[in-house]
Amino acid sequence: MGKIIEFLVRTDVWLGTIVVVLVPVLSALLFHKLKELRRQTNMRPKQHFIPSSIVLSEKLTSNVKSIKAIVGDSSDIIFRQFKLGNDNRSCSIVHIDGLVDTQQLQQAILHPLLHGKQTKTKLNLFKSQSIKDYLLNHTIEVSDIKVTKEIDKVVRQLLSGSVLLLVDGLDEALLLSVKKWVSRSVEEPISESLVRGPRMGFIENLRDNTAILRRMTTDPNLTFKDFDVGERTKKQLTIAYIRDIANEELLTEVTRRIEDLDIDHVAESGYIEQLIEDNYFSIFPQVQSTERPDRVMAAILEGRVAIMLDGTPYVLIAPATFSIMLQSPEDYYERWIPMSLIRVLRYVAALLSVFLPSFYIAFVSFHQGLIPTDLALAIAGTRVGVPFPTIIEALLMEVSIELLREAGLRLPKPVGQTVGLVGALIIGEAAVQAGLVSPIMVIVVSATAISSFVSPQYNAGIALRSLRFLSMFSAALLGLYGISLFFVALCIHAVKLKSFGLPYVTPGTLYSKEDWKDFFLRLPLFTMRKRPAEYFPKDQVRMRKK
Amino acid sequence: MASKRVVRKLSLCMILLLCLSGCWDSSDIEDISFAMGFGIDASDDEQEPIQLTTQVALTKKQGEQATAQQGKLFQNVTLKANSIHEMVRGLSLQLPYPILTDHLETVVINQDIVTDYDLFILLDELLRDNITRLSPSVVISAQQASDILATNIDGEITSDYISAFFTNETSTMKILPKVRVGDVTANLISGTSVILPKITKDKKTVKLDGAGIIRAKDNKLTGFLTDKEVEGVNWLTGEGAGGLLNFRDEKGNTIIYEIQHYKTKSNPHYKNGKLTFDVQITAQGWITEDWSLTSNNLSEKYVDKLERLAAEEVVKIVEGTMKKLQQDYKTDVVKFYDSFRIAYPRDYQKMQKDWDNYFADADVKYDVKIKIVNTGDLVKEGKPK
Repeated sequence: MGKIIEFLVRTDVWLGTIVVVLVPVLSALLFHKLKELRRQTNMRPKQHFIPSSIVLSEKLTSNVKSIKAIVGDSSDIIFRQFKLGNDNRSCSIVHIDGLVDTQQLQQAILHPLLHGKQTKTKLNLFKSQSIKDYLLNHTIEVSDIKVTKEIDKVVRQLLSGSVLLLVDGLDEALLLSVKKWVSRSVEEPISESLVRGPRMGFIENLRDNTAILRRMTTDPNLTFKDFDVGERTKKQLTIAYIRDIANEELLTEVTRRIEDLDIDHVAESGYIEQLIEDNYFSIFPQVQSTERPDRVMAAILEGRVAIMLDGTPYVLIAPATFSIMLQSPEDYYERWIPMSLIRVLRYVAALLSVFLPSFYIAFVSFHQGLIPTDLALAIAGTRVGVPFPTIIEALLMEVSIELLREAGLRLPKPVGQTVGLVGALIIGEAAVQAGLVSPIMVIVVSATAISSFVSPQYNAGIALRSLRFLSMFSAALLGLYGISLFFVALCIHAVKLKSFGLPYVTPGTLYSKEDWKDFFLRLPLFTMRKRPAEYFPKDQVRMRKK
Repeated sequence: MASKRVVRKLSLCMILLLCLSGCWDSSDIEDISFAMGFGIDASDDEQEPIQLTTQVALTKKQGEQATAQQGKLFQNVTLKANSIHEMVRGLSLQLPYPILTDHLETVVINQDIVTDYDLFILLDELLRDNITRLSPSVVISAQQASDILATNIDGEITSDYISAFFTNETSTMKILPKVRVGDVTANLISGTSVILPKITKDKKTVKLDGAGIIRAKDNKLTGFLTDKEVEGVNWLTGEGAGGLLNFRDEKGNTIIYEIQHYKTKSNPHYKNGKLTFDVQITAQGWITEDWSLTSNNLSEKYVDKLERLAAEEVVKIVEGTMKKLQQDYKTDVVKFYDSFRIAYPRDYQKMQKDWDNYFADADVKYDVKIKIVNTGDLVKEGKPK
């Protein structure tokens, strides 16, 4: 009894207990809080950025006035009043300077309106219907014309680059689309470059992106469905799919999640990704993001759904699985034997980038008997004089590598390379010289860093990078046993995780030999005559004969 | 109310966890003394009759550019006591870091101590210790084990050096297969005799030289075999991995036959208390040296003659070995008990305790077939020089 009491008053016992108890309890509380936050319905009242009380009237001056009232006195909005060429009726053109092709505006709109001759005397120009008919059918030389009464739509279209034509005596507005704005040319995607494959990446303009997809197929079943996201900014979002391949349930689920979005501004498709994903606690990305059109095309031909947002070259593809994160389009472009080996290599690299430093820690501080004798002596020899335990040494190196990486990203390109070089020299050479770390640790850390670059998807790479630290801590606590526990926990999480109803480790869980053909290995194309069953495509056959 | 439940759970966790004591196995690799070899000797002291030499690898030296210094890579610590474990723990008084025996390579046992003490007792601690593996090799030494381990070979740790000898078993028949601690104890427990390689110190180096025999009766050393006799043991057990056979033709010219692979089968016959063994040896190999310089190397007659001569030589070798084993030492270290046990399991159960005596009285017949598959590339016609 006395011994028990003696044990209970020891400070290290209490310290250990507090750490062991507080960490899971606090994290559980935090997760609980986050869950509640997510469940909380938004109490924000429905906002109306454009007052619905305003309606278009037949009087031009009042219409111009109300539009001015809505858009304010921004300097880039141009109001141009003029008289129709044929009957001196007052008209007004409103547009945003910079979003409109001025040359086309002059030639196709202003010129015919101003110089219109009264060709058909039968036209009763006092009827609003005939003015509309005159303008639409005889005068304006623009193909995309919309006629609307809704002030909300009018203002949105105006602000997105349409030319607004208001005519006296007409209680509708004509929206003429002669949009033109600066846009980047199509370039090779930087984050996903390939040796073989199209050198084409998506750009920021949604219409150009859909056109790129349209260029790849003349299949009439390729469908784009538009949504407006962002209560305030109303960005255009398009989901792309092949109508007779994509699964109905998947489509409705994607549509439902996008319609459920309630946010005032979506800056990038990353917002969409995070708001529609299944599990926000998971470290794994559950939606694939890419800027390669060929990748998107291949995905929607497998029966998946692409989500494209205006203003970003990154297109989302749902659902996603872990194996997809380690696949590259090049796997299918090159021959199957080397690409299968390379794919296996990627799995190995993924494993190494998570577990290599932790294995080093476990072997060096717990299981010295498992290292071959000569290596054990060599490691012991190099570690002599290193002042830190292995975990601190590993953390020191890992953190500095991550620092270098982050700094290299942020800096302008020429400087970034210098930082990388200098950093590598300092870390590699000087730290060893100074006796801060052992040379073997440098090898381990650099091998890990290199293998984490192998991942063809950047977001999968950063997920593995963060897992590495968790794995290192579990190795430092319990050795190989800790690594096994960590791995088991990771597996449990991955098996539980779903992306749009699809288990994340598919085809690892499916007992379907069909999908294993394209899992660790990439078997020849003729073996994959059917689309992957994991997405439940409506049209299964991909290839009838050899 | 929810918080109350949380608090209750939390305190329960605390109480349960307090009852667990922390088990922290972590110790960094440089804070460990790697024991590479043990040497067991007899000491003059009556109170402390056993002397243990522990060879510890010096990792510090390797760290400071081992190539430049060429110094000793190990440190030997010799202690005396009346128990092995006592001495292993006694090392803590002399070494800064705790001993790790996971990387133990060799256990050297002096011939004197194993004539006085039961080998099983000497290896008892290694076997019971849950950390030590069963893989270190066991050798017998003619000199003091401490001397053997103290031999300083440049750039080598002696026990590692000794243990590495056994990788050479493909190139000579004079090396016994590596005998591991586990093998020794397994044999001694099942009551069969053991043959251990013998190591001797030769000026500034160590070498393998013959073998020592531990009889099953009392687990003590009975005697030694020369390396020629070890060759016979390898022929009889079939456990060798190849080597040379040196024989002479009628004119006394040396001929070397290299064994590529060979097979030995001992067929026991037990009738009316009479034990006989038919030993069949078949070998395949090349002629690699022929001092007779005979020009008709390729003639069938000549090859047949060589095959016959080689077979006679093998019979001579194994008969010599067998004579020593049966008459002088009365121990079965060539594992005939195994084939007998398989053929006559019931009888073996009765005879197991006294097997060595039965073995000593057994008749052995040999049937050796040597095959020469390649005579070398001497194809020149005409007279020899």
